[in-house]
Amino acid sequence: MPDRRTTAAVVSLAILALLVFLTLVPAAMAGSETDDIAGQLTCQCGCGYTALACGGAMQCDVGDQMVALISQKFKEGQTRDEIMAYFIGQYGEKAPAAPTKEGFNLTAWIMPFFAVAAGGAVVYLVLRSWLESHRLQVEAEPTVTTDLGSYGDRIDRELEQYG
Amino acid sequence: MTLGLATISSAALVNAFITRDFSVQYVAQYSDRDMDIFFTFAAWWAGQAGSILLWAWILSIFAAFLVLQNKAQHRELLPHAIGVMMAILAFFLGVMIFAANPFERLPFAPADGQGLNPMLQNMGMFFHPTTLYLGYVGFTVPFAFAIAALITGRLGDEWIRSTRRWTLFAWFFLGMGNLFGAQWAYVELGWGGYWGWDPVESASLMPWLVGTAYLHSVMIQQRRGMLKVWNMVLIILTFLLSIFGTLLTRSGILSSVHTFSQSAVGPLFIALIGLLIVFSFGLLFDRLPKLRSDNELDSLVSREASFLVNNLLLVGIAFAVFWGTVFPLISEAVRGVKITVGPPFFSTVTGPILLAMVVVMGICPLIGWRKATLDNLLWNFLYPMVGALVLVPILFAIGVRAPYALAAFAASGFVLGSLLLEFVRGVRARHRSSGQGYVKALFSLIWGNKPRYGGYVIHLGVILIAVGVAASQFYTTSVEETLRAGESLNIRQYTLTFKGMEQFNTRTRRVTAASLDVFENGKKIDTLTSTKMFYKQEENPTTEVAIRTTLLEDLYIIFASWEGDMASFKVLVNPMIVWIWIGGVVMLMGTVVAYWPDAREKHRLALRRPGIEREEVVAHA
Repeated sequence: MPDRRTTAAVVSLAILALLVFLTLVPAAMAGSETDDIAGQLTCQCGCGYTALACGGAMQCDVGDQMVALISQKFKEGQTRDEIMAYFIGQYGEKAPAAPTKEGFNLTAWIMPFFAVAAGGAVVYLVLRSWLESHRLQVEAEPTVTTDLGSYGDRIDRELEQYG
Repeated sequence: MTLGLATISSAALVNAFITRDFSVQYVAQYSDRDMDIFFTFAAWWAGQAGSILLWAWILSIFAAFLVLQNKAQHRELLPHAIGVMMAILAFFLGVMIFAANPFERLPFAPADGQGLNPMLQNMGMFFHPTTLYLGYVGFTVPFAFAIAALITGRLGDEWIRSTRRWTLFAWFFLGMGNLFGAQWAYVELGWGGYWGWDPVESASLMPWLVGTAYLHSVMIQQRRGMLKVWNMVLIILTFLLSIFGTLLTRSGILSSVHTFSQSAVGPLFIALIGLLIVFSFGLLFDRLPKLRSDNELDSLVSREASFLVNNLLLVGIAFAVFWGTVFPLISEAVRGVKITVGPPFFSTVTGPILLAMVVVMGICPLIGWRKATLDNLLWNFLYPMVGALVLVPILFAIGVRAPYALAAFAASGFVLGSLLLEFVRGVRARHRSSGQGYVKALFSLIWGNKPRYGGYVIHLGVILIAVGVAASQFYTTSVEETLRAGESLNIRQYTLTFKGMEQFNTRTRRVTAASLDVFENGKKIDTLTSTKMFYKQEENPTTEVAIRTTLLEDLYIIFASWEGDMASFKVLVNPMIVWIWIGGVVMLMGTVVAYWPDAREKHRLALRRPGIEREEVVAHA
């Protein structure tokens, strides 16, 4: 039967794992379908913003026209994919505000996570090698007979509390 | 001398603006006779050449200040550091002389200038670019000292200690520059958002992220004498990204690789970046044997290890932003196809890493140095964890259903809980040991260890920003309608009744204003007016939005267009936006605390790591 401390530690770690796991859940999009699509398309006025951002406010009406066209196509019964395909057909690959998830463009999506994972592996290996080096160093040191342990613990505690 | 000459050059450009000397091309390009004195002055940094002059002027001020500040200290490092700064300054002066001269004359003086883009005629034009440049240029100082340390072989902590406040200064202003930019975009661009992942925005975010990693990582070197190489790498990267940010902002490189090749400034900046990479990393590589850690890691569960995870995530986010920013160029170069990498990409890619970063931000301060025990973990994590867990069903019950939003709020709650716990324990300990009242104990706790508690206050500011971003990202509501006078539209608990339009002229523009009465649950609470403004030299009008801010949400009205007596509006309710700006103010307060001179800091550091004052002078290889 695990004691309270162990149970609490397991619960704490489980919650931590849950929090980390939640980071992997894909983001939900808010707003209407028209806004959703307009947020996925680049305004073709050259402002660099999405059609949703540019439409209605900034110094061009291209974004407005794109948003109106999306709305009209929804009313005509077209699907989200058909609408996206229409804009890609019109303006090419620069129409979507994010690279497609195919071919060479896949590297855009994969590389950041690959970099973090590779960096994580490097950090882990470095930490392990440091730990190993520390262990060997401790083993090589002669045993100290004077009871300094309690002083060390006290210093650690005070560093924790006031450091 | 350099400062004097740079100041004379800057004064000459400002004078040319104020006296409307349109024979100067830069003045004719960015000002006109109708501009008021405030924006006439700010036009100094509206374009490429003036911005480079501003960079050079700020750098010359910093160099002069550094010399005065260090008359009696750091005598070995300072000459080399100043040398590095002067080399950078020489580059910027060279760019001005050979590629982007702000004093270039036109063959004739036009009667009037082209004026400043109306969207730049906002208070943000004063605060946003200047704070960004203070940040970009400020990072030159720790970079220069790092290089000086590598050159002289004084590879202990001296270069870090002597530039700690400079680093904090640069980091703070770069962060504030980003926030000012976000606020400016929110009120001026009029699309209801504050961050569009524009390459120029990304450019200023990257050095801030890596600079944040550096600020955390140097703590490990100061306390344990570890991560010496990594700290060098981080400050070199931060400075390189500052130069890259200046390049992106002012060269137009990202419009297209072809645009880039047409710009004289772009290749010069690329050459500088290349040179800096070769020189800095070459020097670092040469010094590697002398940069061994003084200590080894005691445990995987320690603050040192958690700071490394923090560093990994911060640098990971910076890399994701960098990769997304340059990917259009890579695509064009590899496939010959222009693509766009915009908000959907950045949100998807950086979102999970940012969220993990928030969680780690709550963990780092709670883990002890060297080796954390099970007791230590239990003692520190249980309450914040339980708090975060309790928060989830409460949020769910009040309607927060998006998994990402729930995770973001729970993570923020966890960090808030951990910060609160740190303060509560510290205050109680101080209350017990000195008998001070709790309020006095809180202030003396913060004042007694300014770097640490200043840092916690900064964390609090970051969390407030994270909450504001998460709420506005997931729970913005919008409606678009066309109304006649007297007609109303409804959004959430608000009813907006269109009162009508009026048109009038000012000295510089023609204005059409549309006013709406705002009712909340049937009770009139305000009248808001959004305008369309037509500047004489602009083809299209600009929109001034109307915003009503409360602690819970912003009511954001965009006057989109009108025809006859009918006006079209886009209205948004953006939740908790104000907490982003409040978070910025809290970060400011925390930075001031952390920055404030602390007489005990040096003594405490010496106690933590005996020998810290001894600099190992490494002979030149």
